[in-house]
Amino acid sequence: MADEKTGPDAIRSYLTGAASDGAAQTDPDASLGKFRSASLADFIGVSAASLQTGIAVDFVSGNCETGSASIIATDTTSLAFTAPGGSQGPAVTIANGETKILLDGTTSSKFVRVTRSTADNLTGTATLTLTDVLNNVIGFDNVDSTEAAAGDTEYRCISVKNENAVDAIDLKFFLGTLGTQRTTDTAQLAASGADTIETSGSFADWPDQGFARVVQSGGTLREIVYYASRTDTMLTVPAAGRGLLGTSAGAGASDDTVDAISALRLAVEKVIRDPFLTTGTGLDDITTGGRLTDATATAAYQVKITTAAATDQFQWSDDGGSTFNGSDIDITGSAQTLQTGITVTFAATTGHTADDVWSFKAGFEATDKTSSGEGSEPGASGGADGAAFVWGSGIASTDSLFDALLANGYQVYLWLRREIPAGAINAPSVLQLIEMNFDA
Amino acid sequence: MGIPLTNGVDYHWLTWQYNVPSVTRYVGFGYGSALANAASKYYISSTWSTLSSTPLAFILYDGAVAKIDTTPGAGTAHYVGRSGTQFEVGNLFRPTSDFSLTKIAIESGAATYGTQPMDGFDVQIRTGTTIGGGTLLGTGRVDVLSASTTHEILFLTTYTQECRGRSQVSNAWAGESSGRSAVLNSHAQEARGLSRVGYSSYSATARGRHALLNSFSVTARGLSRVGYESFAQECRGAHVIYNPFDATARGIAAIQNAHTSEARGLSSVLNSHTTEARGLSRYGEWIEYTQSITEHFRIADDSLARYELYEGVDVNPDFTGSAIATSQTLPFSSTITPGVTDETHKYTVLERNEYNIASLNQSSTDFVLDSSGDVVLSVPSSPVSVSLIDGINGTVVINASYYYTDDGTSKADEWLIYLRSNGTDPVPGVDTPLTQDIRTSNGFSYLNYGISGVSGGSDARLILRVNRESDSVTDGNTTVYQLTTAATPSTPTGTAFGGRTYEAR
Repeated sequence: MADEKTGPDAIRSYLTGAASDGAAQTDPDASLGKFRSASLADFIGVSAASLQTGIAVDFVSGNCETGSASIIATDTTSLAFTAPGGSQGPAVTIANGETKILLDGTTSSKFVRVTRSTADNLTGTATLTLTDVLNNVIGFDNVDSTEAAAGDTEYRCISVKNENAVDAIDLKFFLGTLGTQRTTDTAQLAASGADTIETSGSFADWPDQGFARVVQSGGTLREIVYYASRTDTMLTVPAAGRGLLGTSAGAGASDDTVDAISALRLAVEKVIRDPFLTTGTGLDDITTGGRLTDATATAAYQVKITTAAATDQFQWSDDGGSTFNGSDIDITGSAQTLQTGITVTFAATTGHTADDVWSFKAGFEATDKTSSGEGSEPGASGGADGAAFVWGSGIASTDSLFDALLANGYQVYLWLRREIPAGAINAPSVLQLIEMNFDA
Repeated sequence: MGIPLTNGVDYHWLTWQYNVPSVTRYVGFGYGSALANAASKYYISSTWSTLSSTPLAFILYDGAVAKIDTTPGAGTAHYVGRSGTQFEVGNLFRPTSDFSLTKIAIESGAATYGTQPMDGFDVQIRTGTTIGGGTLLGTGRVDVLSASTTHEILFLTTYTQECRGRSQVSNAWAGESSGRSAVLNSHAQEARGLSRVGYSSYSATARGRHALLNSFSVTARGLSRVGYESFAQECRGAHVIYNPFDATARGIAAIQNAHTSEARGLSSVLNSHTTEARGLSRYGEWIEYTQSITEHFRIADDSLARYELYEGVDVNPDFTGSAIATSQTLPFSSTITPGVTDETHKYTVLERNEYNIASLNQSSTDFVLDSSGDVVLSVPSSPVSVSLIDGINGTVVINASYYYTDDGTSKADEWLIYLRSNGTDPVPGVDTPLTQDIRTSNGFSYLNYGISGVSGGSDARLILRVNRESDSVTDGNTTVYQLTTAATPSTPTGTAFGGRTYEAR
């Protein structure tokens, strides 16, 4: 457990925008797809006092709250970590030249990754000051006054990679909440326009300005709004703050619940994308699967029905339809391998329409928006990049757009879409919070 | 001989009645249309009577077929079949003895079986009993354990034929077991379907869903639970293994201890294993981790970009409070309200940008105002860190600092240098001082001034003051700094002429 890339350190998040997988790219604002960068997406800032020479803190997990943490030498060869508000975790023996993770004693998701580069005996206690990070890849850049006046939508992409030697399961992404959930039992939004949300509870722990996710009592998302100010019991929503983040304005109800969230929506781009019907309107029952065995095999695939009969047949292309494999393949109804681990499965063996074509992209290269800029929506039009992205704003693990095993060495791309409505004011800073769950 | 009964007419609720045979040889009882399965085989000898609490025995002789559809009531009634008899049981049965060659058929769909009052009854199937296989039998199940809290169906010895449906076998059997089964002891042959094989090993293939509480030595296929002991061979399908196994495990498996060979398919391995694991697998203790990814950004608000004037009266300004005046540009003015007595008004201007970030300057400019609002000027503070240094070629150098911000509006604006080199103290007011402008920077002014023409070996004495020119008020300092210059003035040295050092001449 103490080895790096295991346990909570199994899944790491990287910037994207690199020219090739693992190449250098350090600018979070240029993290716009293409390939995974060598640079990690820092979750939390750290400064250390009294840290022994030869001990370096490489990473602090985002679960650690801001404040003071400590690393103590429990003996001449072992270290232990205490997160802010936590307790001392298990001592970890670390030899010169090793990198290990040190877990907090209360919450194992809270950890630091340290590297020892000294043969000297370990000694003393170091105090770590943990702070939130401004303008990193999750935080995006600042919204200048022109953008704030007109509204601003930007995108970022991070690579989430399983660095463990074994698979991680149940990987999920969803938005974190920034305050206590309340019920809109005192006053609700009208069908449209500026209005207020009031609760008999308290919004005291909510951000001064921000976004509120209104959910019906049955769990259905009703609306996401921007509130320009608040009191302990009331959110003031301007007209421009209605129906945001992919929702529409609608009248609220007294049993609605409301959560404080980030100005974010999320989308997941898998290594082997979901196919979408690009030609024809016939039976659409194809799914993709498998595991890409060749990291260089990034290509635009097409699957084309060549024969509609008792047993339909297809051909496939890995160059976007310029050329096909040349021989008809009977549809079996089971997973059928195209190449390098990519499979397609038709639910039915017959009933398809000749010349119908599905397209999808596969490979370790995400949609490339490095040239088109931070405001260019990935997956907006389907086409060569793959199916249109599905953007979600769920706040529970059950809302995750991705809930699957992530094989060791594999990655998925998490796209972030920040939407600032026209006239939004946030000062002094806006917190972005994403939660990532996995079993390792 | 018995009396033939008409199906669906004569047998309603017959299980709540009974026939007391005196010399009767055939007893049959049933319920409604269920007898249609074998209508010609049911007989009854004489008058039906109401069932009492008296313990009963229904004795079936050769060739008799009994069908029991409902609960016969509490008590200790026995249903006994002898050689060649058959019981077809819709709810429960309780054969107790002499079961040689007896067939017991259990109707499929006897799902309510478990709710019947079986407590207090055991079902015993003795040596040679055949389970299933007859034309009346089908694939029902014996599912006693789920209903009975204290009793089991006991297969007292091994049996050699097929057992289908849901069964629990307390002892080993030697033949195939299909359907859902639990085997409390080992069996030597294939077990199919959902089976529970427990407590002892078995040595043959187990197929379907299995639970094996002890080791088995051959292939287990399908969904299996193999526990507590190791097994030595292949385990396919879904498995739960509580102890190590040393052979291939395929399919969905949970292995709570180490295994030494291949595990394929969906597996959960709660401890380490030493060989290949393929497919969807879990290793060790799986822990759910949560990573919170938090970062910040700011949204510009141009209205926040301004200069802000903060005031403190006799105290430093409070920057957490409100500015008393703001402006988009400099300079700007603000009206001061004087107090009833002299007050020191301290002012600081901060610059705030569109992201609501203010400048860090904290120092203030101070004004002493009287009750009329007029500035009350005070005596400037004296210079500090004054030194008199013997320079080169008959020069003395004066160094000093003056913290003009401490004096606010009363600050001085020129240095007054009183220097004598004849061994007497300077006399301000008599001597004419040398003057130098006070240059302000970062809250203090630094003087570095050289006076030449001082002979070697002179006794030089200095009084340094600061002066406010507007009203000629000085700090009034009288401290004398003394220096005796060297008898032979030092000569300059240094690098020149392309870096070479030349002796001064």
